[in-house]
Amino acid sequence: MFKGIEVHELSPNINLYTLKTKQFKTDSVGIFFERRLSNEEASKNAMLAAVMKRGTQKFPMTRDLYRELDNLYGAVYSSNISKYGERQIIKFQMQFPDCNYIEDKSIFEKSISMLNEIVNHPFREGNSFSQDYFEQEKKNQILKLENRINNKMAYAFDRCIEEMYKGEPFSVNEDGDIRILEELDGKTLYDHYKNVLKTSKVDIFIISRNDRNHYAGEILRSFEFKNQKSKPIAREKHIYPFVKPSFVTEKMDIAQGKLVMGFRTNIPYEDSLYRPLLVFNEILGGGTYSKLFQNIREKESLCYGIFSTVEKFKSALFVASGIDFDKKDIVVDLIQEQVEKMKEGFFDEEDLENAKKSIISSINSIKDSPNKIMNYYYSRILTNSYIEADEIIKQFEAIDKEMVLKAAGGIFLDTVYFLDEKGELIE
Amino acid sequence: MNKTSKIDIPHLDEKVYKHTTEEGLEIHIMEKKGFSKKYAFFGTRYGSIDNSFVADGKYHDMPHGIAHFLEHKVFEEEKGDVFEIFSKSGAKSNAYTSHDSTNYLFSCTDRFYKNLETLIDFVQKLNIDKNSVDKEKGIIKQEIMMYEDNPEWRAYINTLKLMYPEHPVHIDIAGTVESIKEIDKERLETCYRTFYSPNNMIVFLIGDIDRFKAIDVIKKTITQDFKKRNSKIERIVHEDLGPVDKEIHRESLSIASPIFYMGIKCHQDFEAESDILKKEIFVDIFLNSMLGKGSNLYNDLYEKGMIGKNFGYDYNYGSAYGYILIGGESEKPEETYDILKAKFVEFLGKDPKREDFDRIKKKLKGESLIYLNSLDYIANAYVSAHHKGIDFFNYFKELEKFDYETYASMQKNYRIEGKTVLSVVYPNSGEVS
Repeated sequence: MFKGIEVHELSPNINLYTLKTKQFKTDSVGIFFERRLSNEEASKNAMLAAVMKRGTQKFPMTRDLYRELDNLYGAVYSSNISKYGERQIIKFQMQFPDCNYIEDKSIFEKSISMLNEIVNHPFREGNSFSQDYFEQEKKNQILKLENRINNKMAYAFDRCIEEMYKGEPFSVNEDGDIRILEELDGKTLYDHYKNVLKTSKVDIFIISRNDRNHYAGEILRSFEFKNQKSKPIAREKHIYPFVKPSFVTEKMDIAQGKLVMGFRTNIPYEDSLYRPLLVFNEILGGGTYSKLFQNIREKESLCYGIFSTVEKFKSALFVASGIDFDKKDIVVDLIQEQVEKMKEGFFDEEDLENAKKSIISSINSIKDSPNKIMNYYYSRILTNSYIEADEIIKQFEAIDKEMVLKAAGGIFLDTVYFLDEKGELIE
Repeated sequence: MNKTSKIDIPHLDEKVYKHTTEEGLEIHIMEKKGFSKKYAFFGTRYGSIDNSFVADGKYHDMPHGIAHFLEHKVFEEEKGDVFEIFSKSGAKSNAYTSHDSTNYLFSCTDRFYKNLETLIDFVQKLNIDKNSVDKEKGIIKQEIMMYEDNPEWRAYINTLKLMYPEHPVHIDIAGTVESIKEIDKERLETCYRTFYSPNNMIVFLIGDIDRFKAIDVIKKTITQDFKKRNSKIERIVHEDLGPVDKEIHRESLSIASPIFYMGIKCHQDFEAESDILKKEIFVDIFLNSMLGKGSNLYNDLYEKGMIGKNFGYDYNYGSAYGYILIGGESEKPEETYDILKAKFVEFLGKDPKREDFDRIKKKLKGESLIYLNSLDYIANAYVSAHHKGIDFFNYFKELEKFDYETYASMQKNYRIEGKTVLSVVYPNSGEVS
């Protein structure tokens, strides 16, 4: 397992990970339910995260639930969903001040029991979630999906993914689908909730200054989990044949064009070339000294922001930027030119060393934030990769140019998405 | 001068070392043992509101967006790019301009003192020519266009325009595509020499740092040229105290549902730090008890669909300005605004409930502990407060002392009539084709 982190198997498919550290003034708890990402289920999971913010058996009114959290010294409770490849994770998290800094010495027990109340005893009417809460959240969830167009860059990114993975589970939006949401009701959702409790793999994280045995015991006492009947989720498709790139342009009434280019890398995260691929990405578009930033922004003044990023689970690489509408073709060519030049080896030892340093620095700083710690280790658990951080750093240090070129060899452009201006309507 | 003092914040288990050099440059260091990342900020009290000033006897009225433009250019070096130098040492560098300040920063886990030297060195120099100034205009134009498409930003900046038509806080920090055309080498150099001087700047360091070594590096890196820059700055303050003239602004963008901001003008009319902080704590408690998720009003508005998931509120202030912002998505923004206005007036007339006061105070205390986990947050908040003349940790000290009676009397005397504005961005059609 990971250094400093202890694992306790609470029951089959429920694991508790604990980290004792004096670094933070707060304690953090996270409960993660693992689900397969599918169009049928995504809307329901998103709705669960929303409705389970509204009330519990003991605190049926939302107002009273949050007043209780205020009284726990502003304990921050959140429930939300995230997409990890073709998995959708329902996360319940709580962060609260450590008892060393406040008057209330039993805040840990109180907060754990509050989180248990939220997860295991949500407010319901018979065998259904409260109709009022359900309808309000359903309306808001639909609004959230409609409001996707408000953030143009994020919207363009989503659209590029939808185009690139048409018909695959990965194209499913983790916030759900309006048509499916409209069909849902409080009863169906409550049935789904029961099913999620029974059939998910559950991982619990605790990061605290306090004695581990004490809080592991506390979790066992307060949490009511049964043995989980969960099936492992299959690895997503991640190898794709070479195709000619497809170009998708959509129009909106906007001031600046948004460009997203999707490349396939065909390097799985299990492969020894995956880390060299991350180094490639860092040199290409990882920061202000990257090839894309230096050439397309600093040299050509064509944009303000430009970056590239690797999609771990689907072996993809994306480049995104906001540009003038009439510069689209120039920028697409320049980005491709930068990718091709890098594949041909037009980067030096210094670029390579800088990129490695930058990645290693990010790994080292994970331990500065409880949230980063939880997300990092959770992602490692999902990918069955139990190597120590020190070992990963060593692997990065050993990467040479040849390995980077080998990792980049199979990269090809698959989809170019452009959000264009509407322009004058010609009748 | 030229000595170090130590400030303890015992109930939070934190301490800050403050050192002032002979030239008046303040260096503040917060030691956080056990953290991997280290942050360094080098900031000047010079932001978008400092467009008009008298320096060395001459009056200047600068084009909008010049402080932000200057921030971009300070990054340029004779020998190449500052980004490159930091990148070689495994550091991430950045800079930002606000209404009242410009700050340069880096973060790293390794080679901190080498990076600190780079930071102190490059901010003390400006190397520009006509070509490089012109090239930057293309990049900044794209930055401005990016904000044009951002509905929250549009709604926010329009609120400021309604509340402060005279005070320069209403000016877009980056300026406009038109105004940046007026920016040239000479103007940039004038602003640089005026505001980038020791007595107008601060260095703030946080992380697992050896403070003696850090102070030593800074002192060795300060140039004679920088030390000599101590021009007397006279900022022209545009008082804008009256009631609001135009109350509502509407515009439209390609979005799906309306976004609104309600602004409440609350001018800071006191000098003493403790009074400014008391007002801030009052506003924090007031907003939380009125609009927090534990309030009746929030739940009522949410259940009726008048406000959505991203509803929020905030308070901000600086030299001769201050405002509360409340907003988010709403299907009926103008109706929501009317309800909020009426409820504020009703609430302010009443005696506050003691249990609400106690609950919110607990919440604020707990939240501050959560924030103190993040070096990034502390660094930004500390430097931002410093540029406003506030010691960041005094907020927590004042909060400990702040009692119900003080709160109740402040609430009774607070008025919002004639101070509220509404800015809405409506959908124009929003569809994608």
